[in-house]
Formats: sequence, C-alpha cells, structure tokens
Amino acid sequence: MSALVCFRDVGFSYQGCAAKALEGVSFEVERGEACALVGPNGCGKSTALRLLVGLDYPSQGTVQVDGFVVDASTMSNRADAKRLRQRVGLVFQDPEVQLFCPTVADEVAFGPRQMGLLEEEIDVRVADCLRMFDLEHLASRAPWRLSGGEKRRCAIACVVSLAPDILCLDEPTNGLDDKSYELVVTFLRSFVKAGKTVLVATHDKAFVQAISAREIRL
Amino acid sequence: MQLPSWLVGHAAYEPKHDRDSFLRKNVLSLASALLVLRTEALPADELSALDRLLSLVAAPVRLVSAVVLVACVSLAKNMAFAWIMLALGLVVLCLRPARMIRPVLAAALLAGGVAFLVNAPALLLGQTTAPVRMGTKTLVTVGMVASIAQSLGPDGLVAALRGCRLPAQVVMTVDLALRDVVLLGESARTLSEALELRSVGHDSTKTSSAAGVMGVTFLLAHNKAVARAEAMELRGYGDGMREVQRKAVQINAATMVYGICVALLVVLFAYLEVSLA
Repeated sequence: MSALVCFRDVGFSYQGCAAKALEGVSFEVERGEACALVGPNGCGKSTALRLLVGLDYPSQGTVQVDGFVVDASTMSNRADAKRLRQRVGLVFQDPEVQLFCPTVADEVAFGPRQMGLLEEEIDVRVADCLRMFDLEHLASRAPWRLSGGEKRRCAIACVVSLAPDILCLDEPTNGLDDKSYELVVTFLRSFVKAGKTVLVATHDKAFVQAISAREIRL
Repeated sequence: MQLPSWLVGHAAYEPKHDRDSFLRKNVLSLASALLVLRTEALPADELSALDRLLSLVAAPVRLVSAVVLVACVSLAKNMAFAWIMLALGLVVLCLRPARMIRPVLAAALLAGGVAFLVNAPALLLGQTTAPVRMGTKTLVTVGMVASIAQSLGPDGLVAALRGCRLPAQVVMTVDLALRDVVLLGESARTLSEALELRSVGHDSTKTSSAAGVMGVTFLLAHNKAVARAEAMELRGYGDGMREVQRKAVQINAATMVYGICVALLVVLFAYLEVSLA
C-alpha cells in the first residue's frame, strides 16, 4: 500500500520573495504514524504543512495525500478541496489568527456545522472536544479573550471537531503550561493509537519523543 | 485518553455544494492586497535595463522628483502636461518585463477607473471633461507612485525618506504605518485561510463568518499596536526621537542626468500652463 502523505522533490518559493522556502524536499508518512518535521528556523516546516492542505502549491515536484495530488488544478474542484480539508486538519502556529467566532463553543461547532451534521451530533462533538481539551468552563467565553495556552487548546479542538484523518500541527507546544502540554501529548498519542496520522512541525525534541514521532529533517 | 467514537472511525465525507467562491476570493484578495507592501524590491539581476539604470539614481532624488511631478500633474489646468506624462509613463512601462507591468497597471487603472466613476455624475451637469480629466490625472499619478514604490520596495522608500532629511519622527511614522498595513494584511489573510480550511461544506452564515474575520483582524491590529506602543515606551521612547547622523546624498552622473530631465519636465509644465492658459 502506498504512503498516506507523499512529498516528491518538492520546491516552493513565496511570491515576491527571491529565496526558496523549499527545495528538493521528499518524504513519506504512513497511515497511523506520528511524524515530526524538524530543522532550523526558515527551513520550510510550516510551508510544507501549507502545501499539504493546499493553501499553497508546489512550484516543482508533487504533494500527494492518499493518492490525491494537491495542486492548483485538482484544488480548483471545490468538492475535492473541501474533502481534502476535512481529511487533513491544520492547526496554525499562531492560534490567535485561527479563531474568528464569538464564543469557544461556536468556534468548535463551526466545522461540524459546515459539514451539515445534525444539531444533536454537533452538540456531541462540541461537548467531547471541550472535555478532551479542558475547555468546558470556557465554552461561552470569546476566543480572543483567552490566554495564549487556552487559545492554542481551542485552536486544536476546533480542528479536531472536523474528525480529520491527518492532523497537522505547527509548533503545537508554544505557550503551553505543563498541564496543557500533557493534555496535548496524551491526546496525540491516543489519536495515533486509534490509527490516525499526526504530522507536527516543531523544535521541541522532548515533545517529539513524548509522542514517539519519527523525525523528518528538512 | 478515551477518544469519542466519531473521532476514531473514518467517515466517507461528501461535501455539499456551496456558492462560496465570490466571498472566499474577495476576502482573500482584499487581505492579499494589503500584503503588496511586503514584496521586496526585485534583485538587480531580475530588473529591466531601464530599472538597472534608474537604480543608479539616488533614491531620495527619485522620491522627491516623483512628488514634484505628481504635484505638477495635479496642478495642471490644461491636460497637455498630463497627456505627455501619460505617454512617458507608457513608454517606461513598455521597457519593463510583464511581471513588473501588471501590478503597476492594475493599481493605476483601478484608481483611474474609480476616479472616473466618482466624477461621472458631472456628465449630467454638462461637465463633459471633468470625469476624463480626473480619471487621467489619477491614472498618471497613481501609476508614477506605484512604479516608484515597486522599484524601490518599502524598505527603499523609508531609506529614501531618511535621505530627504525629514524629521526622524515622520520617517518612523511612515515606516510603522507600512509595517502595520503588512501586519493587518497578514492577520486578515491567515484568518481567511483558517476560515477556508474549516469551511468544508455548506456555510449558511457566510456573511457573519466574513464579518467575524474582519472584526478579529481589527482587534488583532489594535492589540498589536498597543503592544508595540508599550514596547517602545519600555525602550525609552516618549520624549521624541533622537536624530540619527545622516549621510549626505551621493550625487553621481546618473542622479544629475535624472535631475536635469525632471527639471526640464517642470519647465515644460510651466510653459504649457502659461502658453495654453
């Protein structure tokens, strides 16, 4: 069986920027595996995650998710793009720019509501996500009023509520206290144990070990 | 941790059709428009021959010249000077590669078109020339400004302002304003991307989602501005800026030729204003 995520000789540079963000990058991630993209600042870890969810497209090489080629032509089909984004969830490095709903509960419910789930099912997902990420007491708070760690947990919860097969996280441990750190680690280990795939971009070696992730050096 | 059953299994999800492209494209393109200022000046080897020559001219002289020529076009009572500048502008554009022409032409045509439309009601009052006059003048002036902004880049513009011997406070205000526009654009674009990533089906609340994105963008901009003001205060800002020792502008041959050309254009402007009055 072929790999779930496949980068083949991928190159990319941002518009208006002469330097290449990625050049000749190749790696594979198997189903049910936890992998960590590691490397120095500016080596293209976040860029690789953006290419994976089709926010940008490679200027050379190919990016594939379960055989689906992620490029401008395939992503122009909105149904395919939406299907991919339900399967591959991305938590941004800065949670502040990921939260736009009036309350934490609305934020978590946003994705499932888009999917057209029944209200009862949405309520179940919201309750489960708030419980898993210890956000129950913050359900009616405005996301932009939360602390840094709470925002990060909320950002992860609102992506998890889409029930993705692949969860991508960009520097997920930034700003987390010990308790939140442990919570995220425990969740990711359970997520992988359930046969799902995790791809993180991080500098935190202890975190990579804690989730038993395979290192992919960029 | 015990994961809920809906998270463990794999459900074949079939997204519902949604007419979201208009909103998606517009929110994203609005945010991306603010990021134009993040674009770096092109490296020397990617410049056209004309721009390589222009890069030899001192940046402060180019900036002052642009301001003077914009003032001349704006002040001109008859259209002869504006037509001449339009012709010159088109010649300059023709000497550039397509990737440099597109953004300048897009900005100039958009601004010119808006100016024409705003003045269009004057046609009803019998002022047939007003919309064309304002549209052309806006097209020319915005084209000049966009062109110089493109070739200098934001950092070059700020450096040119410093070279113009403007007070440090003014230069810093312009510099911070440019950076804030970029920050605002980055926040708005990332929020729009986050919205797009989670818009995996039919969104019946599109407008409120877009309003949420814009609202949070301004909250973030406000928070960042407050944080920067506090950081500046902590680093001793508050009693005005200390002036930095400035280097004198290097007047080389290219700068002199450029200055003479601009001076001739100003003389032509004065001549046309007097002779065609």
